[in-house]
Amino acid sequence: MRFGARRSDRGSTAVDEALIKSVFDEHGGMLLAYATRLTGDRAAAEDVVQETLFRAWKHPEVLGNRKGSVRGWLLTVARNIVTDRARARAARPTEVAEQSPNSANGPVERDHADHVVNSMVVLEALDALSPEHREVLVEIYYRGRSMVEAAQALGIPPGTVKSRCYYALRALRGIVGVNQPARTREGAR
Amino acid sequence: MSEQEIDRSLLGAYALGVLDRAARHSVESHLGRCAGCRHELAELTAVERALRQVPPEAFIEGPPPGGDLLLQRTLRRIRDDRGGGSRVGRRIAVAAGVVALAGALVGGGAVVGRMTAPQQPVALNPPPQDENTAQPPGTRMLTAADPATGAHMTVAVAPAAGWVRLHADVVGVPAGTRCRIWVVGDDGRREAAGSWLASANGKAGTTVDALALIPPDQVAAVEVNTTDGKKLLVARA
Ligand SMILES: [Zn+2]
Repeated sequence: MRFGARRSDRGSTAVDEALIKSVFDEHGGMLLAYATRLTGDRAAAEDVVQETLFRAWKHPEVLGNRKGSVRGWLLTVARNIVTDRARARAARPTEVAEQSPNSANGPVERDHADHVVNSMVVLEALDALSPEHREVLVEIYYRGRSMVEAAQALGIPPGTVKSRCYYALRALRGIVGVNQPARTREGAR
Repeated sequence: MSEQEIDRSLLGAYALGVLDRAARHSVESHLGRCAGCRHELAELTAVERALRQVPPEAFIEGPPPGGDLLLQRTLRRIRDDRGGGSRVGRRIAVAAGVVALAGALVGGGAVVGRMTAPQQPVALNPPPQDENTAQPPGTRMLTAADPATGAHMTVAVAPAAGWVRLHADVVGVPAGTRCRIWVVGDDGRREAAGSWLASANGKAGTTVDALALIPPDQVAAVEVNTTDGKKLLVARA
């Protein structure tokens, strides 16, 4: 769903609410799951989601973009809110830092220090893949399925999963800089 | 043998880390001998590093399960902001007993359930008018969180004729803690409304249904204490 219109401050409440409701219906599950993992707490996560949607409402121009970059923007905003709040807490000497049981072991924690490209760029590039290539990457890489499981889920032979992984990665080479240092994989996944 | 090429599509699965051990070893032994494959793998690995920027949740579609209340709170916040965000207006609503504190923020400043976020004031959000829950009209949702311990509570305070029913979810209290829930009246009167032993399953917490003979419009707070009097959580109305 796309929203091209800029919200005027005097725009109608109904339009605003419809806009936020549709963002919530499309992306709310993603945001709450992400924020819950980062905070380790449902109540805190809901607050992060509310703040993220509030900021989206303040920046309706973002919502006119393609789905991948809308999602990337929302995830980035949510992560920044979590980070800012954790920092604010850490700045208070009398408080014990909150222990978040879930925040230490998630796959997103990998590699935040070296943001070569941001998630918006990657999500847009994934959107631009053919659906066949995109779905194998999502199943294999993001849902952590084995090639055999992905083959079963998608109803294609395992050999096809393997070759689609390869061609999907090749198709995505444009998202990374030409001068990437040649490193072998560092065991992330 | 060293000249023999492998199926290059193995390199994609290798870069993604999904090959089994045997296939991985055969790729690695080939890589030792083949500069072309090493070069290609370096490109694919760079792509894999870029993919790591995206969290797995990015592929979850649709609204969150059980998210109606969250949506209504968000819409309410936007409505308040459009309306000039009059805090005075909200306070009046609070005083009229129409309003609930919704949306605990763990990590707020105080040990008790004051809705403080570190970054900005969090509005006192009136409850949704049309949420799809079975709560009777006039039910207030109160929350409390203790950032030091991670304990938090959401409690629905439903009005009855001259008394209240509570439905509380208490999470994060150490297993084995002997807990008691109190309703505090605006004149300082306290009614114990139930007691329990904190569940070993701290994350799921304990759901407590309780009753207290304090008129709905006189409820000032709901407290959870240990049975020997140590304060655990305070949700102010
Ligand atoms: Zn080769």
